[in-house]
Amino acid sequence: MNPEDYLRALRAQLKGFSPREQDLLIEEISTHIKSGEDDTALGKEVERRRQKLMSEMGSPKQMGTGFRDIHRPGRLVDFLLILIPTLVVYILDRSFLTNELLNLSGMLVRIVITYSIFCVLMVAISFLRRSLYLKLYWIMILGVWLAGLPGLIFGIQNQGGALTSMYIPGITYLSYYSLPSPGGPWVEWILPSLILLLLLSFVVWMIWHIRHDLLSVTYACLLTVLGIWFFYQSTFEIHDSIVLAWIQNSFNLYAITTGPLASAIWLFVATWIPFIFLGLFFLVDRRDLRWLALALSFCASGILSLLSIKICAYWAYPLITDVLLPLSIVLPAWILEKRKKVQWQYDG
Amino acid sequence: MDRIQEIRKGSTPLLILSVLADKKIYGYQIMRELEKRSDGYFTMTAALLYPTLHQLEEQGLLESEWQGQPGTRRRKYYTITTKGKKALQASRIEWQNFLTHLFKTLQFSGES
Repeated sequence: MNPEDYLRALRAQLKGFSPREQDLLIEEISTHIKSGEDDTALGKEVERRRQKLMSEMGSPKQMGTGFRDIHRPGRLVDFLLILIPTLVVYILDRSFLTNELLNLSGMLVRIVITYSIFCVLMVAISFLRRSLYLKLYWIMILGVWLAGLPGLIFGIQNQGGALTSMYIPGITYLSYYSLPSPGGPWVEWILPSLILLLLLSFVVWMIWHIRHDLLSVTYACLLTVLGIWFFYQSTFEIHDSIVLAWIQNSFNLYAITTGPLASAIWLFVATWIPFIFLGLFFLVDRRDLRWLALALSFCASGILSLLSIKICAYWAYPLITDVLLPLSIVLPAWILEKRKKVQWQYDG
Repeated sequence: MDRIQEIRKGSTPLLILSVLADKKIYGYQIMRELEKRSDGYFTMTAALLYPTLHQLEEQGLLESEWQGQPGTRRRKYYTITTKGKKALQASRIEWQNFLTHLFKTLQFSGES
């Protein structure tokens, strides 16, 4: 095998990596080959040196597998560290959180603090595993929980309300429907905004470190934008005067139009199908498939809502929030990567 | 023979760390230096060397730096970190201990 064929075969083995990552790995191996071609200790003639060198390379498949094992370790474990805790919280929520319980004085605050501590634990595990995707996921969720905390502690803790936990990949949030907070704008808007700003700076700092991989950046942006959007939207809902009537959360309406069983099935499917796509995003190697899986993991619940239009009386919410918003992030990023890829291939 | 091969493969990170213990060099030089130091006994393919270098870097035992301008021929130089030096020292002691006891046992078996 000549060096060009070797590098081509190696690139084919690195399909799961971003074009930038591929370029860096190929550059390192290409430099190795060139260093060997220049090394007169391997022989007087270039051809002889090249032959000796290529015999020491090992197969492109072996090298590709080696790189994949190191740079993509334990993605299944990472995914399970998202799926299992979310499943546990989901079961606990559905089993124990009744409206009577939530109306007890201070209960919401205790629940949010418990969930926040749980998220801190998951963030710590993410750092121990040095997993970027895990870090982003759990930090985002922790941020949204923490942003909701001031409103609960200083404002509406004794006024009860309904607690709804939603599970969308990247977003587990608490929306509390209650009276406007007596704590005023500081508690409802300014303090949470400061917390979210802090979170945003941290995410931006992380994005800077992964800037070479557009897919990871897109994943981080989706989590951040949707997390922040859902937080503000749930705060908007407290104020009737601010709520845009046509942006109604479809989950509030599903029970009105169908029976409880159909509603429960629909809610279960809409909750967990996104996780199947999130699993694909974590586990498959083909990059285009990962892009598709990422988009679907954030759009799936919205698409399901649109398909079951009888259940979802208002189509605007799922269309805008659950389909168009995630797509407006994923599509341009994917197109950008495709265009860059062509450029890099041309450069190569 | 297979066991010896396995031991050789298992000792790859240690060998790489020992080559990098006192100098900053790039992948190709590591390969040649290893060959030179072991009189050709320890050879490894690039397919084993580079993933191992990346693994050691992931573990924080090595650091790397590209030198040279983009577009021209750049080289990625590796250096051992403080953590890497500690790991190397610990591995040396471990191997020394293992080999001492191995030889002692083999010698005893030979005498009896």
